[in-house]
Amino acid sequence: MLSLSARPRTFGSRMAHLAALPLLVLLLTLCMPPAAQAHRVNIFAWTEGPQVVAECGFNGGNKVRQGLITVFDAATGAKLLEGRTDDKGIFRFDIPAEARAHGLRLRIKAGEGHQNEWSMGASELTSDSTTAPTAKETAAPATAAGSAANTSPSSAASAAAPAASGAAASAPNAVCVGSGEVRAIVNEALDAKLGPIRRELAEMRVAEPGFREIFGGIGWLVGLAGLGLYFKGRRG
Amino acid sequence: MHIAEGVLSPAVLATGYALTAAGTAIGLRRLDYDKLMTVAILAAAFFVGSLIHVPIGLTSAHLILNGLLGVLLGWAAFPAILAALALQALLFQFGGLVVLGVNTFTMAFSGVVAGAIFRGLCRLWPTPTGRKAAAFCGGALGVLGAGLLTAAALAFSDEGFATAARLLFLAHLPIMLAEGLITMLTVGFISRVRPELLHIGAA
Repeated sequence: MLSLSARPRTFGSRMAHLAALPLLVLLLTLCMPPAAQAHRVNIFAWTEGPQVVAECGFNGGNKVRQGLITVFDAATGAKLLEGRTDDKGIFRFDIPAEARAHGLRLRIKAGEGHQNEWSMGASELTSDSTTAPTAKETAAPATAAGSAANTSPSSAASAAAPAASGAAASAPNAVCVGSGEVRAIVNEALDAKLGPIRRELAEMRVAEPGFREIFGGIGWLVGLAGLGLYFKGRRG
Repeated sequence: MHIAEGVLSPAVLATGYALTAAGTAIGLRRLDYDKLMTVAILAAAFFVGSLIHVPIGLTSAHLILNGLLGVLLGWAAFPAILAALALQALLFQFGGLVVLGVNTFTMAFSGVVAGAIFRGLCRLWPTPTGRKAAAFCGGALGVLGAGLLTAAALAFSDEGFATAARLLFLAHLPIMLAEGLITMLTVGFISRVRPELLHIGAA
């Protein structure tokens, strides 16, 4: 008797728990740190001056925090360095010397079996690394030429451009200086302008599946079932 | 719960494929003519459910629905989940074909076990309330089992079992509760509309 009378009460309390569950779900998810709950992790990397910047995110839109990035030599497979992403999912490192010859392979491990890779060709890395040293090397002669121009009394402010071109014509070194500097400046400006576009391109490559894919998938499944029905029906 | 390519060792991958092949064979043998369309519809539900991210709070979550498939389909959850995951791997590169075996097994087998638990509870407690509780358990345990099996597969990689299991459990706690509710509502609806689909009296 006691147990019989106790049972409905436990039923009732269980049902009350069940009713409170949606609220509990909401509370739990609000309290929890953004979890790594996604289908796959994405990584993309680009160069910014002498550095490589890698950005990692899950395809739910969350960034990978404290994800382990390992950088390999693309040709030999040797591990060059590793590090963890910051809270924005970004990891920066200086281009290693080996990478200029062989290229890089970046691997992100975000835990729970989430892993992805990104490759960078040697050409992508060398184009910046070659300009950087020349800019540095030519910096000293450039300032020397500049100071020489300043000390010479003939160079007036209004005739600065012809004077510079005249100096360039007379001293072939100065031409190299100018082009190297210009290249460095242009590269810097291009990096700044193209960085967001590169990032957008990479993000587009890993876009979320749209309605087209979803309905295509449903169509496939129904089609498979139809095939099954057809063959089973023919067998009788 | 999709394990990416390149994480697992070949031995684990091969084991996954072997187990999935066995499960799919059992599922296809038990599949009868009338149930085929149900399997396709639920495979589509699985396919779509895990594609749509529902933003909750700071995170976004997606459903897995393997418990629901196990409860409603039994062993036929294997071919359903295999087809849906193969499409996800081909269309969106989620998971990937190399790890398809492991991913199918972790989700389908836990679903089958959850379905067995559901039927067992229904027999032990043959009231409408009992059925509701059993369906909730089935849906929630399907997710829990998938998490445990995924962690077990990851135990053979350099990420340890304990870490992976803890992370997966925390991430899927809300999903477990949500899927318990969804399974409960779906089973309640089907038992009113088409009770013969549930096969509670039978196996």
